[in-house]
Amino acid sequence: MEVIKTDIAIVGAGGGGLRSAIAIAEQNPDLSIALISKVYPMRSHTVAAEGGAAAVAQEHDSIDYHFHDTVAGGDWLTDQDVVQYFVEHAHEELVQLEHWGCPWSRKPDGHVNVRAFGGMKIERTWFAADKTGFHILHTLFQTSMKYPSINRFDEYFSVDLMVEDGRCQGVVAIEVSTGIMRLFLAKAVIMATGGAGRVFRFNTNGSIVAGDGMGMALRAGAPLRDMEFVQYHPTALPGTGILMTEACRGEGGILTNKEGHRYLQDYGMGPPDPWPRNKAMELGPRDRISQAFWHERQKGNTIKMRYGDVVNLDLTHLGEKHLKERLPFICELAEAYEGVNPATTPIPVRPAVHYTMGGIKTDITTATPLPGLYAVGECASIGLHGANRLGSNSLTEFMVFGREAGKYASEYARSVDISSNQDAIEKQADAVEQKIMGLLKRKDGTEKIATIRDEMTATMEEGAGIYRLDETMQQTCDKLDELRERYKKVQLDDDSSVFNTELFRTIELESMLETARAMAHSAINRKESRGSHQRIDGYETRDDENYLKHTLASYRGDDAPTIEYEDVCITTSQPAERVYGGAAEDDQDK
Amino acid sequence: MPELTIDIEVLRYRPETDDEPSYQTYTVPYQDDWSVLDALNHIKDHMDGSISYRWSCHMAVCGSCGMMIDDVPHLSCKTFLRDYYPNKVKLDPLANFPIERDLVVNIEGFLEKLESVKPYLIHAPDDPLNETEYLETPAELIRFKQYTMCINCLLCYSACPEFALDPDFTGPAALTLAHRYNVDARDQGTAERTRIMNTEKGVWPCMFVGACSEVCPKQVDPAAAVQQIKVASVFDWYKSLLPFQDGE
Amino acid sequence: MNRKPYIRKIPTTWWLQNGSYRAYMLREFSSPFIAIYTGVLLVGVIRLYQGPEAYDAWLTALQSPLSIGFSVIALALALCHSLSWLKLLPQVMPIQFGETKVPQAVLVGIHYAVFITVLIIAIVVIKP
Repeated sequence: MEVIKTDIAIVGAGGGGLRSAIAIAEQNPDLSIALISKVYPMRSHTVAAEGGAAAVAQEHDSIDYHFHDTVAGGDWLTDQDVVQYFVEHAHEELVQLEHWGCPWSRKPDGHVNVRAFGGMKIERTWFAADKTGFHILHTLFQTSMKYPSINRFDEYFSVDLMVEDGRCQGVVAIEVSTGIMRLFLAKAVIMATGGAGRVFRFNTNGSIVAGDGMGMALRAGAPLRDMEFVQYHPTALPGTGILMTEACRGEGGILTNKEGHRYLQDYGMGPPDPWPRNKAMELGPRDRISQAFWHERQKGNTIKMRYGDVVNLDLTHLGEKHLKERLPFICELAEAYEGVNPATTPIPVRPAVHYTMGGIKTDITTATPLPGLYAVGECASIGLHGANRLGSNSLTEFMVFGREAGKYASEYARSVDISSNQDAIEKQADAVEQKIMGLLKRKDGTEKIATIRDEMTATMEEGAGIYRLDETMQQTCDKLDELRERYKKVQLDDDSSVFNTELFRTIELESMLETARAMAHSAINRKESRGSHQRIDGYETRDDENYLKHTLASYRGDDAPTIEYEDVCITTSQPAERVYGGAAEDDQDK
Repeated sequence: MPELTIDIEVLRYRPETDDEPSYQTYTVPYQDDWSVLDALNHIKDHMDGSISYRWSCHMAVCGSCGMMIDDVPHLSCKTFLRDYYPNKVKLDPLANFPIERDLVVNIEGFLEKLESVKPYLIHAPDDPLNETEYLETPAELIRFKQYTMCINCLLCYSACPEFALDPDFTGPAALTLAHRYNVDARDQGTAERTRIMNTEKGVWPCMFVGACSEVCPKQVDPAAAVQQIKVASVFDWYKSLLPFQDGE
Repeated sequence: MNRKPYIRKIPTTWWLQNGSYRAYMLREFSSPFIAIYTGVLLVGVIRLYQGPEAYDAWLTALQSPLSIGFSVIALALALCHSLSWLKLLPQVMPIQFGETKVPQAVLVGIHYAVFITVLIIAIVVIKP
């Protein structure tokens, strides 16, 4: 197998991968970087982020407020040292993006403008209209072209990490256009592969968001942490799952049920007026608003449509001019996919899976427990989001911690040599190749990947959705075991080696099943309700005594993942009740 | 009621077995809210797993799924069966690019061209970076904002007859992104980029057909950007004839 | 290498494929006619310099059916050329006041107004 030697291999070229690469190239231009991505960087799913990126920008705001919003928003399952580092460095990273050309929306005086976002006490969401992720991604990608030490391997599908001498030493990847497998031998590897939202039926994610990085890390022996915490975004289009950004509500949009009633006031987020008001009503956190939708559906207050129940996201009072300036993409999407002009008609929306709070466990330096392996962005669990992520923290996260990943991976790469045991690694790589060839050459398979995938997404929706029950979670765990077995008999239609997308979907499916298993088992073992993990089977409340802990799920092959727990880092903020709406204002007055 | 159906005619090309591409027709259920991409996904999931095409976001922003739909370049995720029904829909890979396989084309050349025009902010070496953000008024932002909206879907290259005849032409999207930085008040790299674009593979092959702007799904208007570069280049050239140059 | 990129041939009739290609080809096609007509006008200036007789001969030549036919075609094509340029002009020279970009239709409208005014002046005021 052809071997490509590099100092640092980065898997994934979305926001996290590009930020890490640039950090390495700037600080350590002598280190060679292999930036490996299964799609061209500008296709990465960072592109679809809409609303904005959080960093304190106003005089009357403070990093303490940002800290507290994030910790409380995450239901105290955040690591507070990580949150502290994050809020302290958020501003400089968004300014860095500005220096690289990001077209942030501006105030008349030329300063960067900010908007309100859910769960944030003061407006601190920097935005580029409603295409913030798109602009950040293209800014980073185009800027990355400046650096000669960044060697891009576009459309290289990474399959497995190489572990030898107890450390991660590279990755094998298939060149999509030829089917040729190559071994990237590296001193350090950074995973920046994004989330796993596609394991659910209703999601806002692109087809590439398949948890492959999480699956690779699991198989290589790195644990996944807090996987039971899956974020439902409350406002997605019903058929397609297309995201209607939280900025719709940040700009003043409201949610109403079939009676035209702003139902969030019935779920501890009222009173409704005056509006808009930070940390209240539609500017509550995503977990609470998605949960309110579930209750409204139980009560029969939702509207029945072709693709299930919806509520109305009403922007009509904001006026066409304001919508065209602040939310042009939302207008375009609602018109094209729902046939609705938001200036005149409310948009039908429902919750859909949006983000995986959990991921590959890392410490504050982005290092995973596997030496030489680093992780950043949605694929990682650095401890920033806890049990529920606040909107607009994730774009800033990959900026702040992407730089860290670059820094610490560089340090590590300088401290070790390329393996002297290359033969052993090549043998591992050959085994991976055999596995892939087996998939391609198999003739007696009986299962279709689409069938397994559809059954997986359905069972995840059933057992690991907004509200969870022991019984259905157990059914989901069992179903995933069954699907995992059936996966072993999967049959491809396509045996070509050129651009065999069916093969890549199949490899992704393996990772999706592992990731889904980690989610389901982590969920069934957490016998409490916290943030996005809500149970209605006797564990309706938060249990700090037993579960103020991170869940760790480790791979054990055919057996169910082992579930362990570790402490949460608490520095200044002791767990308290999460309050929004009027209660939050009372809290503040005290 | 019998299920409504629609025919999708897809250009297939498998380099390992085919000498040249040929069409294959699939009959899929017709749904009025299905995009062409939804129909392709239905084919891939339920009829023929061997069909290859690129896609990801399904919301017209990642730029992966461009293809020729009835000979016009479109994003397949934002083009709907209802606009063709009951007629068949003909799908070809993006025109003017080499076909890698089925609906997948080779776009490597575009990435090289994009890199060649230095698509990033260039600060003069003696200009220290601000501690905080550079001020930029909404008016200054609007001057270049439109040109930042390019999603690199490359529909414009498929529409461009110059690119069809000369694959080395830098082309609409790359030139537009160069212009985006030139017009940005924070940038000081115009002179560098003009040297690159003021060449026979730069702006000048463009004959202002304007087809690129017609097919652009994001109303970026690349034709406008390219003409504005030409005007700037001409001024630049006249300036170079003046006896007294400012600076070096 | 199992890769074998297939390059499609460009048909010689590519320029008939759609409206903007045809408009472009018409614009290109108009150029020689306009160039020749400009040449004819230039000859007129030279003839004028050579004296009244030479100028009268040039005028007479212009009245030949062949010449009239050519002039009519050249006029039509010149109109096509001019109108297509008026349409494209706002793309070449956008105008922005503060935060508002002047709409393309307004810019085109202004150019038409100027064009027609000049035409009227040419016909009415400079009438021989």
